[in-house]
Amino acid sequence: MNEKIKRTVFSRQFWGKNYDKMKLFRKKQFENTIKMEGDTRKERFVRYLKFFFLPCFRASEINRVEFEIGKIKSKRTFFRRFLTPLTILGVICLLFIFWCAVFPNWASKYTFEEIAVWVNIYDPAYDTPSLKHPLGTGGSAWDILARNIWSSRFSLQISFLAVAIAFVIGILLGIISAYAGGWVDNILMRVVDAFVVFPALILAFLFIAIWGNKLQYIMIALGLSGIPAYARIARASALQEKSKLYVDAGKAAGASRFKIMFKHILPNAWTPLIVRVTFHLAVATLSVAGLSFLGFAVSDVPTWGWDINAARSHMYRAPWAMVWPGVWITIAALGFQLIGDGLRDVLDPKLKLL
Amino acid sequence: MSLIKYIIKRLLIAVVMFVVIMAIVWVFIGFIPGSPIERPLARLTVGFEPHEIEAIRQQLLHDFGLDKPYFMQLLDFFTGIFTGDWGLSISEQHFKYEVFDLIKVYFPRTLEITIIPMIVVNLAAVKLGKYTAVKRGKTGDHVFRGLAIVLVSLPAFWVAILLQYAFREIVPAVTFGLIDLPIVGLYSTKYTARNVPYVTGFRTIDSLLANQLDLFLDTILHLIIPAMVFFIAIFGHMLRPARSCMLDVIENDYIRTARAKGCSEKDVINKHAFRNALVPYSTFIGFNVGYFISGAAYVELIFAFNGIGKAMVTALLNTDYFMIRGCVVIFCLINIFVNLAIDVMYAILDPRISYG
Repeated sequence: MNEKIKRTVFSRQFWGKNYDKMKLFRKKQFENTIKMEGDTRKERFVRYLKFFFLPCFRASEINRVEFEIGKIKSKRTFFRRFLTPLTILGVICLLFIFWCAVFPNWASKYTFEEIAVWVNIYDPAYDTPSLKHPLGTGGSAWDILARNIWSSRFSLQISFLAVAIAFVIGILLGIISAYAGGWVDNILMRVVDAFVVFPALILAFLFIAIWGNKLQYIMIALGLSGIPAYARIARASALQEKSKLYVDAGKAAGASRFKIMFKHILPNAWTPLIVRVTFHLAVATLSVAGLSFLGFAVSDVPTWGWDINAARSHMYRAPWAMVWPGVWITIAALGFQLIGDGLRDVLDPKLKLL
Repeated sequence: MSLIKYIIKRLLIAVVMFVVIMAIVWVFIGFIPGSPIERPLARLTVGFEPHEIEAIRQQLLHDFGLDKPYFMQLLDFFTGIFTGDWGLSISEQHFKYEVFDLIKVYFPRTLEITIIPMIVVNLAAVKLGKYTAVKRGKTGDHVFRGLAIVLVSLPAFWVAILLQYAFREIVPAVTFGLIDLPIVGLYSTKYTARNVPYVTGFRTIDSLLANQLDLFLDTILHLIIPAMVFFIAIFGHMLRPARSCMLDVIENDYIRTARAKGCSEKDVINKHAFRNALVPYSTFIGFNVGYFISGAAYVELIFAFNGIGKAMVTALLNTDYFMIRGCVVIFCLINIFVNLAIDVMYAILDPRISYG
């Protein structure tokens, strides 16, 4: 009694106002642990008797526990298979790029205002690498390291949103056409075919020519050109899932078409789509860089491609200014590619590259 | 019979798709703000009186066929695609030139730098795909897979600039001036006055036909570095499908049967596996055609190579309506034709697929 009170008091001192939260967490943890339910003495005895007298008796609890253990094991094998040396390299690349993109204020010594202002285009200050500027300076005397760190934020933003657009619309088209079938399928797939034939570059150019040189239109154009791959993959894997029994069960239970499509079929058709997302991120990063290299970018929003374009005219005087943004692009694309490879090997080894 | 039906069906779909895409392009181009003739009008009428400007505007609108109703313009455009009347260029450099003639000049140049790397890339990818699939899990496989991943994630335009730098600053210095490739342009400046009659549009073939061997060699030298860029940009994209196609085939039962009946390993790989792996690989050839369209724009801009990609970019920057439309027409035609050819070829090569 005395001992228990002492313990709680100490514990309260230690946890402070979070004591109740801690208790709740412990309780939940305890509830979540694998344990045999109905472990009273009487039930244990009944089970023992059944085990003795019924042939082939197996307690349902044992099945449950085995299932739980299997789940943990499969999770472990997933990570063990995922963490090959190449994927670890990819994770390191992406961590670096995301560190740059999410915390540019911490990663670089310079603020956004110091590197984003284009002061005098006719007298650019290209300086050799020094202690103050480890990768040299370029453009309007800005630090190239800081500039790359800041531009990774905007480049990644554009590519992520483009992939998101393609992902959502592509999956909608693919699953609806697979589930509906018939003429709906035919028309939707022809629309998707038309998107394939339409070159992404021309689409981006037209958008920019119509609505002006803004980043969101590059994003939308890249997203639209990414739709067909998602639509085709989603359609193929949804067609496989459609013929399975649980879809019929859902229909029999009276689920709506929308629910069957997006709550039953879609979660089972995830894997190839997720693998595709990582590859598409790599491709989108490169295309964003390419488009901004061609000059379709806003000059006060730093992007890697635009920096390369600006440094190109001073290439022989200051090669460092054109080399480093490219290194950043390569690191980003390489990270996405390596992780995509690793994910594909783990999730779906027979998946072909599309 | 069903094959012929399938081909006819694909052909009809291609035609419908072409018409729909052209209509979409038409609508999109119509959305571009400002009249297309504003820019030439401003250029032609410096210091004119307002009523004179109005007269010239009407004249220009009539010349470019823009005074007709909107629907008639669309009809003109569709008939023009087949009669070769693709409109007139509005740009300052080629004012009132026929777009079709300009494309006839530009397009062979692009084809000239893309077609050889395209063939070389596919041959190399097939060969190396076979090698890596056979040596699966060994050092050679790892090396080439790593190489493919790195090549896939390199931005092509950056590689082009790096090669330009290397071949001007580093390579001549290292090789004591032995390798000194030209890094920019179609041909050296000393040949600018040299006239070559237009026969095929390919500068290499034309110069040979005109019996000018020095110009031919010069053109070939200028083609080397752009071709290298194309090769680097596309090789990784083609090697990975080649490997996965070969791996798919090698796991089949008939390969085991071939080994069991006593074929030599060389025959098993080259005759049984490799030929069957080429069939699914052929579908991926369409992919690099799409790539060359966008890749051409970057490479031509960087190497100052007046091809169709550069023409398109400059047309878009100058809002040169008819030129944009001409470029889109030619790209869509190529893309549709190649996709159609691949589908039909696949149906012929692999009789097992259903003609759906």
